[in-house]
Amino acid sequence: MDYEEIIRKAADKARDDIALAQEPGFIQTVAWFHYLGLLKHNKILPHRHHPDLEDVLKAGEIEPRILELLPAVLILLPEAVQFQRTDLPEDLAAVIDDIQNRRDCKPFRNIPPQKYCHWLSAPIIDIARRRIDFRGAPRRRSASAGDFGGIIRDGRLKLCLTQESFAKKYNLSLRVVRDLEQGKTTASIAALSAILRVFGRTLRA
Amino acid sequence: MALAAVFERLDQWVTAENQSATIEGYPLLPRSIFRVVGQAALLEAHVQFNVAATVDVDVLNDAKHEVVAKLSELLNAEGLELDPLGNEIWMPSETRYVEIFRGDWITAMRAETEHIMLSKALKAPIKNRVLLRNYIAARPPESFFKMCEKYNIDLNGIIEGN
Repeated sequence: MDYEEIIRKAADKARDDIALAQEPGFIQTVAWFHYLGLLKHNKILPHRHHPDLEDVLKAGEIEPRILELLPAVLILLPEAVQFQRTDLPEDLAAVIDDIQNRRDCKPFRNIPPQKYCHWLSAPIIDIARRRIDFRGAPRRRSASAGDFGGIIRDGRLKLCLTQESFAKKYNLSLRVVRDLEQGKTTASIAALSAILRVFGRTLRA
Repeated sequence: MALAAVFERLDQWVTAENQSATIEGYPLLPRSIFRVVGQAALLEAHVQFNVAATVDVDVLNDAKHEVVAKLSELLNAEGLELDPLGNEIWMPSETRYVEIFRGDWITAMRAETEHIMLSKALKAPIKNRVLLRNYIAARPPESFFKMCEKYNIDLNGIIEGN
């Protein structure tokens, strides 16, 4: 075994992992789960934030412990994640259906049922529930004048489209849709105008 | 609260129980050793790479049931949970442990990082792929690679995601 070669390969891959772990959606998801007392992290502090399901699922690709918690969170603490039933990817919807209908559960993205079902009866869920006080929780994605991210996200959800299907339907790049919803201003004026037109809005100076 | 403080409270509880037992003439609770493994031990070790952990704490132990139950109660008070299957976690025979608390009745230790990572690489490589990549990228000791060879762990496969 060539240790140096293995370290080099790992470092190459780890650079991508670290970049993904620095994305706002990942940090905000971990910070929120940390705030709820469901997760601990050695570098991300707890923070009151209210992530949407796409952020949570994407964060779960880097940190599978988030996916381990997710079915229990969506069933027992649905208010902890911004989502609509139509946002659920097929595999997650199937897991939730199986749990709710007391059917045998299948592994969810390589997580065995005993791992994710464990959290359905964990006392920590009650603690998390007490930590949620939505009257004081920030509404990151509420649409207000000039809040393009909120307008786009709310409009997309009204159409019951995921970011991916929305981008595909309106011939936009997924990255542009994601960035705009996260409040990043990387889109061109033309792209922004095109998206706002979908919701009957226009850009004004 | 650090885990050491939880074990200190457990030691105080056993001390009180044994004082009562001495007065009442009951058998004393024996000395117990708790070995923290898994993600909780990584957090306790203050490793440099990113570590997330659910609130369950994996602990190998030889303690009496009532002592384990008290530990579970003390962990719950800190927003943590004692994993009921913690005692079944496989750790390599080479595992070294670092003491985090020593009292009159309770000794608590945490497994060293390289042995925790070896256990993860062998038993749950897919779940821990990102964690393992980060660990290997941070240059683990040569002994980690030697143990991987001994246990036939395909590090290339883990890194590449095969």
